[in-house]
Formats: sequence, structure tokens, C-alpha cells
Amino acid sequence: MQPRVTAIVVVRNGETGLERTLAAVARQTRRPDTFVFVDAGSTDASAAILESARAVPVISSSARTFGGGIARAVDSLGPESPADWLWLLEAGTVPEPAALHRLLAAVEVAPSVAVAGPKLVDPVDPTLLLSYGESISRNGETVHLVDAELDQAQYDSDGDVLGVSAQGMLVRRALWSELGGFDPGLPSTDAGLDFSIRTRLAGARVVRVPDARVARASRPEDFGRRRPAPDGLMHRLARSAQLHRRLVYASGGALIWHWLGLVPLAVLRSIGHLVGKRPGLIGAELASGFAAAFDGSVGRARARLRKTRRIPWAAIAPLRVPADEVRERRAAARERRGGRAEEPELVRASFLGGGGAWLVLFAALVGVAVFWSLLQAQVVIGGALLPIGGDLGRLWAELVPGPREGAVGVSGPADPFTAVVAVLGSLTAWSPSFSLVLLWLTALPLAALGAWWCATRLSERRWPPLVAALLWMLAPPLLSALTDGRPTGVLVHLALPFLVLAGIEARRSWSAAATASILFAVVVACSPVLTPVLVVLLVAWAAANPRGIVRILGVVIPAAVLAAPLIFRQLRDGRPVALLADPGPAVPAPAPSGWLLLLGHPSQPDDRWVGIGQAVGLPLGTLAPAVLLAPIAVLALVAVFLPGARRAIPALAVALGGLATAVLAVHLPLAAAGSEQVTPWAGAALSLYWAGLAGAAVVGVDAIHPAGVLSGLIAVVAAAVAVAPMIAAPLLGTAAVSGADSARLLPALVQAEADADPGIGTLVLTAQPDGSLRAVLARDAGTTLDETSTLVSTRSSVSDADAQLAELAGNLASRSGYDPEPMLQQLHVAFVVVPELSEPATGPQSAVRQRTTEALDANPVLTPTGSTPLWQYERLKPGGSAEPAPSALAIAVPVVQGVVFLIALLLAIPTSRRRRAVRESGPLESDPADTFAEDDDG
Amino acid sequence: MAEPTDDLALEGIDPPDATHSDPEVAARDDAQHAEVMRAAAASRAGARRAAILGLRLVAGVVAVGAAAATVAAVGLIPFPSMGIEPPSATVTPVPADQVRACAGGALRLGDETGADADTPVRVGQPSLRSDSVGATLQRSSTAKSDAGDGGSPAAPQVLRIDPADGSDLAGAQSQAVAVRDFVGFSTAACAEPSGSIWLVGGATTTGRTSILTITNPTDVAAQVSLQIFGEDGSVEAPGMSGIDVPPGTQRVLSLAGFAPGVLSPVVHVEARGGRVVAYLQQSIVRGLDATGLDLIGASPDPAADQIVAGVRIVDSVATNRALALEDWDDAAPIVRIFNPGTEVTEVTVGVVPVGSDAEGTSFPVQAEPGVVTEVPLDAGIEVDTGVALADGVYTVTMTADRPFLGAVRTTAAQDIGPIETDAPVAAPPTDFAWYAAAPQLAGDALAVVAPGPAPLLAAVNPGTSDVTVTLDAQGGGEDLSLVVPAGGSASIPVVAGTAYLLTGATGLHAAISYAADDAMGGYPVASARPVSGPIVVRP
Repeated sequence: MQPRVTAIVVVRNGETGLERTLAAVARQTRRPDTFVFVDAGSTDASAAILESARAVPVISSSARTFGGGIARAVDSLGPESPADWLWLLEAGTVPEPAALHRLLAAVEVAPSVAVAGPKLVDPVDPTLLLSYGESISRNGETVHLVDAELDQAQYDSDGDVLGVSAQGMLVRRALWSELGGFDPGLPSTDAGLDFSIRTRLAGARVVRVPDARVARASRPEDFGRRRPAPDGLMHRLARSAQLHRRLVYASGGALIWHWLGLVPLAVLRSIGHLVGKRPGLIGAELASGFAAAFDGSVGRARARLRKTRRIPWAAIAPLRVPADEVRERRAAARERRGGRAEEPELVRASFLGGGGAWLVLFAALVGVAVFWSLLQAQVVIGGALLPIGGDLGRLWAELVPGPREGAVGVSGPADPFTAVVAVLGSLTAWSPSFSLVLLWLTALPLAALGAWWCATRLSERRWPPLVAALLWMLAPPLLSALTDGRPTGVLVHLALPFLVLAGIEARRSWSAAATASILFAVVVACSPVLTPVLVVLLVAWAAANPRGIVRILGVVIPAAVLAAPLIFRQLRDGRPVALLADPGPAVPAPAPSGWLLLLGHPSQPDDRWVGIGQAVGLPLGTLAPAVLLAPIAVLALVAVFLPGARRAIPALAVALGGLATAVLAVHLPLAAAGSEQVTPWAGAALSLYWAGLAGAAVVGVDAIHPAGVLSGLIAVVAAAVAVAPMIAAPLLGTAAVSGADSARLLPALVQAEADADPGIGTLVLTAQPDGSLRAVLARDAGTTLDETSTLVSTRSSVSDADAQLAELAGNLASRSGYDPEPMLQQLHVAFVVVPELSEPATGPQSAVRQRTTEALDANPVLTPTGSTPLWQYERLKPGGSAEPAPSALAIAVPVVQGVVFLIALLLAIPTSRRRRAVRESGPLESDPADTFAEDDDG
Repeated sequence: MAEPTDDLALEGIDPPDATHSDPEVAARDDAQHAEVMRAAAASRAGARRAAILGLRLVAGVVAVGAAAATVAAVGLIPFPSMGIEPPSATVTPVPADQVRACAGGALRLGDETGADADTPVRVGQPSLRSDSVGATLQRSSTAKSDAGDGGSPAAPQVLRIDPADGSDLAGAQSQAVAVRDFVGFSTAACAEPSGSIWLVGGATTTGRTSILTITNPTDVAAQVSLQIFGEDGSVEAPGMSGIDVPPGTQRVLSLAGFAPGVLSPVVHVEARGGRVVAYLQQSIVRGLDATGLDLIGASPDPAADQIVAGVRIVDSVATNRALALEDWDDAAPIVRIFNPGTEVTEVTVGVVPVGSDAEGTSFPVQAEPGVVTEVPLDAGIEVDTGVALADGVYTVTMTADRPFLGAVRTTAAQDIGPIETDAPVAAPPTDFAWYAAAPQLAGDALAVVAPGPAPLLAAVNPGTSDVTVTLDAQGGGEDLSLVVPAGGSASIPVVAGTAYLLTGATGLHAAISYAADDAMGGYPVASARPVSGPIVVRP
């Protein structure tokens, strides 16, 4: 019996390719016997084209899918005969003239064949195979047997396949009717594959025909779309199709497990996408998981499959692709992608050969030598250093919004810095405070390492990164932070080079962007005053790299999530500017002059040349460092005149931003410590300033090669001399920081009592220079670094609770008839401490302290204890006010923050192949670093 | 200049012209054309290089200018600060009870037979007068005393009133003793407890007994430490610190136990914990004759000005005559000055009679640091009559550059007539008195006059305008009025046993004194010490 072929052309908004399709169909050497044209709701000129081509009959379909359109067309056909074949085409597919002839030839010789698929080739280059047979892996994943390969007849020998694409498929009409056509649950992806599998299970064969070629303009997923589907949508369609098929194919017993596993699997696979640097696919993954869980078409599809299946699944198992082959194919695909990326090679000095390792070793030795006294210490104290509290549980529990220490009745979210402290303390979980000792000991080598690494991106030569590392390690803001006890300043200084490095890479790498986002959160948490300038720099960087704009601007997300509760709180209190206050204890620093800021000195006493000047009778203060640091400024400015200005100018802009922030910081008293105003510490901003300055200087050193070595050496030696008094301070014992065996914030007796009765309060009455009295209520053994809060330090008014505490303190410090007992009980105060004054104390300060101690001595309620100025309230009833359990919302806050950081961390894990790094160029070559060159988006 | 593609100046300029080196084009072109093209390319490249150089120069100059401007701006412009003021709350302390503690009855070490020389024994009971305004006075007796009579009326009495606006209380005691070896008149005001008390007076030389009493009327145990200074400087002895004075207890200590043989001691009592009241009781036995008793109350804290009001001189001729007797050297009127500082200071002592037109005298005293200096009160008078200071009431003013302490002692004795035999002469009836400096009155003050001979209220006005003080007799009695001239002093006899409310007395120094040739005494009138003022607390 002669086969009768009905060609069905489905068109939906296919005006661009429709005419070619019609012409190609008309040119077939074996003309189809019947034509059916289906207009699946086109809104463009498709209908008009069909009409002008006098294509009849045209059926309008309400279904908007390819499969739906075919089904509609088949319904309209006349009575079915066994020799009826359907040729499924869509607008845009252009069969070669002999395509139908050869397809028919293939099916005619083998009556068992029910489905035949042509080679789908590229319309421009017919030798490029786009699709030629499909299969599934062991776990049901679609495997395109051919994916954009050059046709070298390599697949021509093997005709039998598990499935073929729906495009250009020739299918026996009887089978079509028996199987009920394409699964409506598979609108585009896998429609042909699924139909082919069901064909196979019904006992018929599916073949691909090597000499039948059909050019296809668009993928099945793009049917009816004007623009190709984006990656995310493609992934969702593919994943949805796979899940749909899984639910359809699964045996009844396994179905429930598959269904229950849908959402968890989607989450797990999302994590996999994060690690694989494909964050764009997560939405699709989750959407498809949830969609599959509520997929109503599964039931009908299962019923149809049950009805039509004649042979067991095992029979088609050989046609599936084995796991090892799937792996091979994936590897090959990755290889092809990698080859396409054509990333420029990263030229930089090697860590060992370039001297970086030696430099870090040198820095480590200097660090150990300078902080010799910390080697045996368990804690480092002084300045703004406080010990980190007890055990890990309490450390992390501080992140939950709730009562804040240091003041009565202050409750709210934790500072972002608390999270930094929690991480820091967890590094040395056996003794959280010890992490600060390690930080102090390793600060210099870490600074050198970060700067060296960062500078390899600025220069390809060997010397400039070494100069950068030394300048960064000898930076006045770092040494000030180390000698004055500013952990936030140290952390910012250590994180900045890595942040710059990751920020530069963020435009092309998800991993770098995620790393930068975490470092950004650390920097901003440590020094909130840096936020404005860093955001401006990020926006500028994003504007310069519009292709990486999402990745670059996304850098702020973890920091924003971390700070969100505090931002909300301070905005609600109408004090947004308080968000810029430094975290940690508020420690006043004598404000530096503008000149000192220009020299990178964040506070007045850091200019230690004053003392040397007095000793030798010369006005060396400010002058000596100015002269000694001048070479750096000269190098930085010279760089603008030379090749490399493209890198030097942004670096100088960074320096300007840092300097402006520092000037702003010292004029912004946002917090208070007793009677003294406390500004954000300028050192962190000066680190940024120094980063820009040193960066530009390094570019200058690079540009004036070979004189750069000498000039760099001069700059480094002069800078070393400039900061020599600061480096010597810890050795001479004039630094604010010192090591100790244990950090005791309050007398030992308080500590012992607190162990026995947790929650006891100690009222600390500190005489202030202006003759006022600071009253702070500390719980347990004292306020630790993790317990500090800017909500406490930035209070600008006296609350009712504060007033009550003030009344108690004021009366305790006076001969008075006030009965302190109810208040002491209410606040659960067991001790009153009047700390010794640090020299030099002012007259009013001594007077108010004496008045306070005398009044406390004369207070019958309090018992003087020991030789320290400590008074105990012995009649305190045990068991103070138990803190209320935090609400679910409060607990959710750190959980959500943790999830965001987990996502960032997963994304930051480097999994993809890194850019190839090659050795630094020799002295004669002088290719520029590609840091600021236009780059592709990998 | 080797890498133009890296240069800033390239921005906005077309990339290097590479298409002209296309090999196909070059191959087709004839040689001449190629030559022209090369020349054109070379000249374009030269122009480009010049443009790049120019742009670079401009960028550099702009950068240097911007840097200079930035440095100048940061270094020179005083930017304003804006931020929060540290929050503060001013706390006015709740007023406390007002407390005064009195000295208690006279004490003798050992009983009448001289046995148990370490045990203090109470001799008699003083007459106590006390009064209060604005609140009800509560009077109690110290519960414990080293003299073993705690709770009895002879033990130190504690006066107390609840806090109220404008309330005040005062008390004063006097006692005349005449047992065998213990004769004399003593009087003292009840004092407000304090953590730091200076006592100027006493002696521990032979026959001079000085007993230190420390009473703690508060509810908190006091740890007391002593500092004793003499004519040879500071005295160190064991047991001078860590003296426990439990609440409601009087401790009695012999000064000679710490500092024997000191002619002119000054004692500083410091209390930690509870506050205390301290007195020195001095008695003199010359030879076998008991020749006087006195209670020495607290001096004001060291200051650059000290004013002693109401110093009484009686029977000056007779007293002068008694000086000739053996061991009567210390019967002469003296001023005792102590410089607690570390540098020498010159104290100018002025002695001015009250209520007469006679000119006062003045003389300088070099006060060595840490050393007690005694100078005759009449050191400034040119002796021509044999009697240095005439009978009367005197004001002794002392001024110096640095803080110091000062007090005056006078003695009165009955006339023994001219001494005509070499045989021992019986001592005449006599008594002495220490006059502590009077503190400046901070407002109205309550002055209680204990019983005693010829009581007199003397007032000194260091101000520049005359002051009229009203002495409002409490509980009946005649109200008095006293005009104190600017820079001068005045006195008025008062009625023994009466309490007077002194109104309009702000800024004055006042004292009550008694005088008879066998009963000398006096005590200053004091305002209540200011309660603890408001304090600024920063929570």
C-alpha cells in the first residue's frame, strides 16, 4: 500500500521563517499527499502569509503549543488508514527537497518503524548538526545524542535511537492516535523524546535517518517566541520536563517517594548550582520543583502510558545512555565551553619565585618581634580591645535581637560586627579571646600577603608587588590600629586588599563576586563609616563594567542583610546617621589634625615623632613623617603622567574617597563614652586612603621601570623610618595594647560571684573628666566585645530606665537619704565598682571619684570588699530577672542572615577552572596588566 | 610610552589603524601606493603620540592640582563637627538625716588611785543643751564606749533629725570637773560626723594628758586611721591605722600611746566607711596640781584663711604672774599653726581686740611643711607694760598663700600675788581653753549656749559691708541683735542654756566662749555642712 503523508505545519508568530518553510515543503521531491496548516494563535503576519501562499486548509488552534497544534490538525483529518503518515513541521523548519523522500524510504523498508527523525541542521551551515536523536540517562535526564557537532557522517551508521526531536518527525498516524499524541504536560522540551519512548514501549521502533536533513531556525523551546528563551527559562523547561517524565514513568510504589523528594531535591540542586556558579538557575530549579509537585497532567499521562505500554522498560534499557558516557559527554561539553571562553591569561609574579613568600615570611618575623610580649598571652587588651565572651553558644546567641548590654532597658538587633566577632571567636573555640592574639600576631604577614597578591593585578613585574606589600604592612593606619588596640581597624586593613582583588574579578566571576560580598560585609561591619564611599566605588565600578553589573552590585547584598535589622531599628528611631558609628566599645581618641590625617595617622597620639622631637629638641611632630612619607605621594602623582595612568587615576580616586571619609569621620561624634564624644575611628578610612595611595605609587614604580626599583626602595625605606616609632611602641611598652593571661574587666570577686549566680549586675561608676559620673551596669563578668552594641553607645537622650539608673548612681555617689535597696534588687546589682582613674586625672574627676567612694563607704547597704574600690550588696536575693526567651521572629533574623551568608559562601567556593596564571614577564617585555582592560564575561 | 593601548589618552580615540596592513590589500596595491600609505600612517601615529602626550600632561597637571587642593583643604579648613552630645541626667540626692554627736563626759585614764592607767574612766556627766528647728530632735546615747558606760547619759549623746527643708539642729555640752587631780572646765559643740577631722591642740609632755575620742554615730562601721604631727614633724607609731569604730561606739585612745612627749600635736583623723566625730580632751597637771581641762573640737579643713573668733583673755596680769611658776610655761597664750603641705608658707597672724578701738597687731610666722609651729599670741606687741594682751575678747586672723591649720590657746589664773619665797607656791585656781578656728557660716545657723560662766557670742565679718545678725532665742528668752562691722568683729553676751537661731549670719565666723579665771572654754558655731550637691550622671 502506498504510504499517504500528511504534512502538518504549525505556525505561531512564525512570520520570519514561514515562507521558507512553505517553499521548502512545496519543493519536496516526494510531495506530501495532504497539507494541514495550523495557526496556533499568531498575532503577527503569519496568517496573512498563509493566506497569500494559498495554503489550505488552515486550522486555527486554541492550543498554543506545537503538540497542541498537531493534535488539532490530526483531529481534522479524514478517516485513518494503516498507511497514513504524519510529518510534523513548524514554521521556520526548512526541509531539504529530498527530506520526506528519504524519511519515507527509511520507514518503508522496516514496517516496525513507527517514528523517523531527520537530521536537524543549522540553517546557515547545513553541515552543523543541531539535533540528531535523543535519549535519556539512567536517571531519566535528557541526553542529546548530538549537540552542535559538525556532520562528518559519524552517526550515520547507527539508526536506532530511543527518541528523536519532534521537529521534522515522521510518525505513523495509527500510532499517533493510539498513543494520544504528544503529552500535554510536555509543551516543548522533550515532547518528541517522550513520544518516542512511548512508541518504543508500545513495541514500535524509532529511527533517525542520516540522509534526511531539516534545517531548523529555532529550538523546540522557542516555538512561538520572538526571541530565544534565556538560560534560566531553558533550564526550567528542561527540568520541568524531566520531573514530569520522572513522575509519569515511575512505578506506582516509587511515585510517592519521587513526589516527596521534589522540593528537597530542588533545594539540594540549588545548592549545587550555587557551588557550580550558576546562581541564575536557582529560580528555575525551585520553580520547576514546585510546578512538578502540583502537575495535574501527570495522572492522565500515566494512564495513557499504562494503556499503551506493551513491552517492559527493561527492553529499552540498552537504548539509554550509560552513566559513564553521560559523564564523558558532560566533560566534553565543558571542554567546548571552556574553549569558547577564551579568557586572557593572567600574568603575574609567582608567589615563591616572585619573592612574595619571602616577604610574607619576613613580615611574620617582624610581627612576632614587635608583638613579642603577646606570644605567651591568652588575651590582648587595651584601647578598644575587649575580651570575647565565654562559650560559642552565647557568642552566637548574641546575634539574636534582644536585650543589649551596657545600659538598662536597651533592646534591639545586634551590630553586624557581632557576627564578625562570633566568627573570629569561633576560630579559637577553646578560648575565643585568643583569636585576637592570633590576629595581632599575624596581622603584618597577612597584610603583606593581601597587598602582594592584590598588587600582582596592578603590575606584572616582580618588584612593584613587593613594594606594595611593604607599604601596606607599614601603613600608619595598620600600625595605629595595632598599637592603639583597634580590632576593627586591623580587620579592615587586612580585608581591604582581598576585597579590592575580589571586587575587580567580580565583573567576570561569580565566585569572586561572592567572595567580595563576604569581604564587603566584614569591612562594612567593622567600619560602617566606610559604607558610603565603598558603595560609590562599587557603583562606579559597575558603571564601568555594565556586563557584570549584577555581580558587582550584588556584592552589597550580604552586608545589607546583615545590617538590615539595625538599619530598620535606627531608621525607626529617627537616627539613621548613628548607623555610621563604630561598633565595639566607644573609646574616645584625641582628634587628629587634618595634616595628620593626610599622613595616615588616625589620632593625635599616633604621631609619636612628637616625643622624639621633644627629646632631641626639634619640632619633629608631623614634620618628620610628612617628609618621610613624601616619596610615596610623589610616586603616586608621577604615575598619572606615565603609562598606567588608567590604573593610577582610579587608585587616586579611591585615596580621595578614603581621605574624605576620614575627615568626615573625625567630625562626626556619633557615640558617647561617659562625658566624651566618640567619633568613628578614622583609621579604617585611612586604610582605604592608603590603599589608593599605595596602589598609585605601585603603578608609578611599575611605570618608571627600571628606575622603579630604586624609587620603590626609597619610598619603602622612608616609610619604614616614618613609622619606626609606632613599630617600636609595643616593644617600648608605650602602646595601648598589651598581653595578659586573662582579661579581667571587673574584680576577681565579681567574676567568682557571676559564676555562681549568672546574671548579677555590677554598677560601674567612673568619674569623668568634666566632673560627671558615668554609670554603666555590666552583667556577669563585664561587657565583652561581642556584647557591645552601637544601640547603647549612640544613645542621645536619657530614657526612663537610664534615669532610674542615674538616680541610683547619683544617690549612691552622695550622702543621701535614698534607699537604694529596691533599685539594687530590681536591677539585680550585686556590686558597685569605682575604677581607678587613669593618669592624668582632672581635678573635678578626682573630686567626684572621692565623693563617690566616700559616699559608698558610708552606705550601710553596701559592704566594702577587699582592697579594690569594690562594694558588695550582700542582701541581693539570688536568681535575678531571667531574660525572656527570644521570639521566633528574633531567632529568624540570624537564621535568615546565616542562609544568605551560606549562599554567598557556597557561591564563593572556587569550583570552575581558574584563569591560567603565567609567570611574570621578563624585564624586556612590558605588556600591561589586563586588570582594567575590557574582558569577556566568563 | 611603549604601550599606547594601556593609556588613558586612548579613550575616545579610534583604535590603531590595523586594517591597512591587510595582506590582500597590500598585495594588490602597487609599491608606490604602499609607500604613501606608510608615510600617512607614520604621520598619523606621530600626531597620535603627540596627542597622547598632551593628554597625559593635562591629566597629570590636573591630578597634581587636585592633590594640592585636597591637601590644603584637609590641612587648613576647620570643618565643623556635628553629632550627639553625650546624654546626661542631673541627680539631686535625696536629703539624708542630720546627725550630731557630742563628746560625752570627761574621761580619765585609770581610776582615782592611778591604777589601770590604760582604762578610760568617765568622770561625771556634762550638761548638754540641744535644740532643733524645722524638725523634731531625737536624742540617743551611744550604745558602747571604751569607758564602759555605753547607753548612759554620760556617754556621747547623738542628736538626730529627719531631713526637711530649712531644718537644723545643734547641741553643746559643758562640764566643770573638780576631783582631786582633775580640775577644770570643758565645753564643746556637738559635731557633724565626717570622714576627715583635723584636731589642733593638746600635748603629751609630762603632766599633759591628751585623750582622743572617736565616736561613730552612723550605721556603718568605720575604719579609722590617724596622722599625728608635732614640732618635729610627722609621728609614726604602730596601731595608727585600721582602728575599728563599730556603729554607735565611742573609742577612747591615749594620744601619748602613739606620740609621747610631743609638745604641740596636730591630729588628723580619717575614717573610711562610717563617718565619725572626734575630740581631743586635754588635762594638765603641774607638779601635783591639777590645773585645767579642755575639750578640743574639730578645726575647719586646711585653708589659706583661718579665723578664730571670741578668744578670751581674763586676769591677764595674774596669769602673767603665774607664768613664773615652775612648769607654767604653757600658760601663755599661743597660736599653733600647722602646714600640711609640702612647701613652706608664711602665715600672717593678726590679733585684734573686739569692741574696742585699739589697734590690733600682726606678725608673720614661717610655717615649715609637715611641722607644727607655736608662736606666742603677743609676739607682735612691743612689750612695755609687762602685760602683753589686755583683758578682753580678741579675734585672731591667720592668712597665708597655702592651706594651713591654726588654733589659739589661752590660760587664765587667779592672782597669786608677788612671789616672795623660794618655797613651792601652791597653784592658783586656773583653767585653759583651746579655740579652734571658726568656719564660715553658710546661712542661718543654730547656736546653743551650754551652761558656763559669762557666755559670749563673738562674730567676725570678713566681708566688705556691715552685717546685722539677729539672735532669735528659741523656746523663750530675749532676742538679741548684733551689728558686725565690715572687716571687723563684734561680741554680745548671751544667756547660758539658751539656743539662738542666728539669722542674717551668712558669711560670718562666730563662736561662743566662756571666761572665768578657773573656767575657760569656747567652741565655734558651725552651719550644717552642705549636703551632697547635685551630680551629673551619664548613664
